[in-house]
Amino acid sequence: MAQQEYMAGMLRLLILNELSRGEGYGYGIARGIQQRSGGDLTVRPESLYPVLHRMEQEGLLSCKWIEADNGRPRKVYRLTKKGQGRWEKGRVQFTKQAQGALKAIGADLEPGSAGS
Amino acid sequence: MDTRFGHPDDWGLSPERHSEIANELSDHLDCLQADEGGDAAQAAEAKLATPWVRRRISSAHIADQLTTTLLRWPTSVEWREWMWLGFWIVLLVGGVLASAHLDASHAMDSNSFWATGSYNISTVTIQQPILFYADTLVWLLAGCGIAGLISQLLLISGRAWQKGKGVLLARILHLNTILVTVGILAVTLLKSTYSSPQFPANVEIEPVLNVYTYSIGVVIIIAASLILRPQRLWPIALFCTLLWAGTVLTAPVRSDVICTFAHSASMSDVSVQSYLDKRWQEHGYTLVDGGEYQIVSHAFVLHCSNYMRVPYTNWHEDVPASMVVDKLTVASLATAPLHNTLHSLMWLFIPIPLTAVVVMYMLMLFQHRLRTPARLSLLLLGTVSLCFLIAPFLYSLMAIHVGHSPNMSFWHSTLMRLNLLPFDPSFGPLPGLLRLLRDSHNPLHVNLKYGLLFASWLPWLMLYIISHSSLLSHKAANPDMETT
Repeated sequence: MAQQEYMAGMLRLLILNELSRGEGYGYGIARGIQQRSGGDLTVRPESLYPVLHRMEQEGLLSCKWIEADNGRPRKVYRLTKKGQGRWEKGRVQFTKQAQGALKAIGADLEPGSAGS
Repeated sequence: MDTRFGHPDDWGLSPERHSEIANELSDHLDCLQADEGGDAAQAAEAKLATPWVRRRISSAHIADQLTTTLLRWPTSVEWREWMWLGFWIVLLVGGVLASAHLDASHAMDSNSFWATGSYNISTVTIQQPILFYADTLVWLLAGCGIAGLISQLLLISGRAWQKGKGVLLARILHLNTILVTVGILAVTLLKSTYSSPQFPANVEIEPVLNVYTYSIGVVIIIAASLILRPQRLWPIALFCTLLWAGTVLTAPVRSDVICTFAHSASMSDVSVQSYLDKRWQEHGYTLVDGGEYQIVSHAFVLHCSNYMRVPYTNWHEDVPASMVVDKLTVASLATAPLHNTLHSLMWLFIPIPLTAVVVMYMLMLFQHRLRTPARLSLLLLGTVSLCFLIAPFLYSLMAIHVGHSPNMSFWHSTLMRLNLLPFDPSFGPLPGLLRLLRDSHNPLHVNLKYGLLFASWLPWLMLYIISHSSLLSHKAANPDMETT
C-alpha cells in the first residue's frame, strides 16, 4: 500500500514535471517520462490516465480537446496555477528527500542534477 | 466514438465520460502504432480490453459511475439479475407464508384443546402426518430462497465490483431499497397471518450440525475442490453453505403428541353424564378426569430429546372408580413448537448496514462538488438517513427494549448458533429487529420501523439533489470546451 502510494506520488510529480515544460497529451506525457528517464521508467496507460483524470478533478490540470494530425480528437493537458504551485513545492520537497535518502545509503547525486 | 472500447455500460460510465476516455485511449493507441508498429498497438489494445484495466482507468470516475448506474434504465443483464433476485425473494417469502399457514392450521392451542369437553377421545381430531412433510417441503423452499438470495446478492455485487466502486455502490443502494421495502411489507402482512406456536413443547435440542462438524465439511469441500474442478464445485459449496447458515437451525422437527386419557370406567353412563353436568355447572367446562400428554420428537436434522409434560389436570377424588387409561397419538406437529417462522424473513434485512456505507460514500464524494444549498441539503439528508438506518439496529441490539431478556442480544444469539453457548432454537437472524418490526403497539417501535423504510428511500432524494446540481454537469460533453 505504501509502495503504491509512493509510486502514485512519484507519477504525479513526473506528470507535473512534463507539463511544466508546456502542454501535453497522454501518450506524449508517457513518452516524455520514458525518454527523460533514459528508458528506466515506463508509464502504462492504466496507471497514467486515472492519475491525469484525478489531477484534473483536483484542479491541478486543465484540459482542452483539439484535432490531432490524423483527424482524431486529442485531449491536451496543461498546468493550472494551482498545479504550477504544486509542482514547485513538490520538486523542492522531492529533491531534499532524494538527497537525504542517497546520503543515507551512501550514494550521491551526479553533479548538477539536483534541482535542475 | 471508438468501438474498440466497448459500450458505456461495460464501464458503468455515462456515455459522455466513456466517449471522452475512449477518444483519449484511441489517440494513445494511434500514437503507439505510429511509434512502435501495429503489434505493440494490438498488444496494448488487448490489454485495455481486460476488465481489471478498464476498472483501473475508470477508478477516477466513481461519482460518474454511481450517478449513471442509479439513473439509467437497467441493461438486459441487470434485468436478468433482477428477475433471479425476484424469484429467490418469492421463494423465500412464499415458503415462509406457506409455513406460517401450516403452522397456524395445525398448531393446537393446548388450553382450548383440553377445554372443549372432548372427554370422548373419538372426537379428537388427529392431525395428518402429511402436514409434517408439507412443512418440511416449504421449509426447504424457504431455505433455497435464502441461499439463492444471498448467492444472487454476492453475484450482483461481484459483477458490479468488476466494473468499479461507483457501480458497486449504486447496486447496493438498488438492492437495499428493494429488500427493505419487500421485507417490511412481508413482515407487516405476515404478522397478522401467523400466530405464535400454541403447543408449548420446549424440546431440548442439540444441533448435530454445529460449528465443528460444519468446519469439517468446509475443509472437505475445499480439499475436494482443489483435487477436482473448482469452478464446478464452488457454486455448489457456496449454495450448501448458505443453505446451512440460513435454514438448518430452523428445521422442522416432527413431534408426536401422545395424549393419555384417564376416565372413570366403573360409573354408569347416567352417573358419568350427571357428573359431567355437575362439573359444567360448577366450573363451566367438562374435562375428562385426568391425564397427561407427552411430546416425542423425532430426529431429522437436529437431535431432539423427549419431553414429558406434567399432568394437565388434577385427578379428582370424589368419584369412586377405577381408572381406565387410553393412549392416543394426537398429532404430528412440525416446526410449531420450535421456532418462529418469520425469522427467515430477516435475511432480507442483512444488507442494510451496507447502505450506511453507501450514504457515507455519497456524502464524501459529492460534498465538494455541489453548490452550498445543495451541499447543506445533502448533509442534512445524509445525517437523517444514517440515523434512521442505524437506530433500529442499535435499539434492537439492546434486546431488553423489544421483549427479550437482557442477555438475548444479537451477539448472544450468534454465539449460541455457533454452539458456544446453550442453544435456544427461538432465535433467527436479527431476532430483536424482528420483534421490533412485528410490534404495532409501541409508538417508538412503529416509528423506528417506518423510519427504516423512509431511510432506504432517502438516498434517492440525495441523488436527485446531486443530479440537479449544476456543478456536476459533464464538462466534457462538449469536446471543444476547456475545463479548469
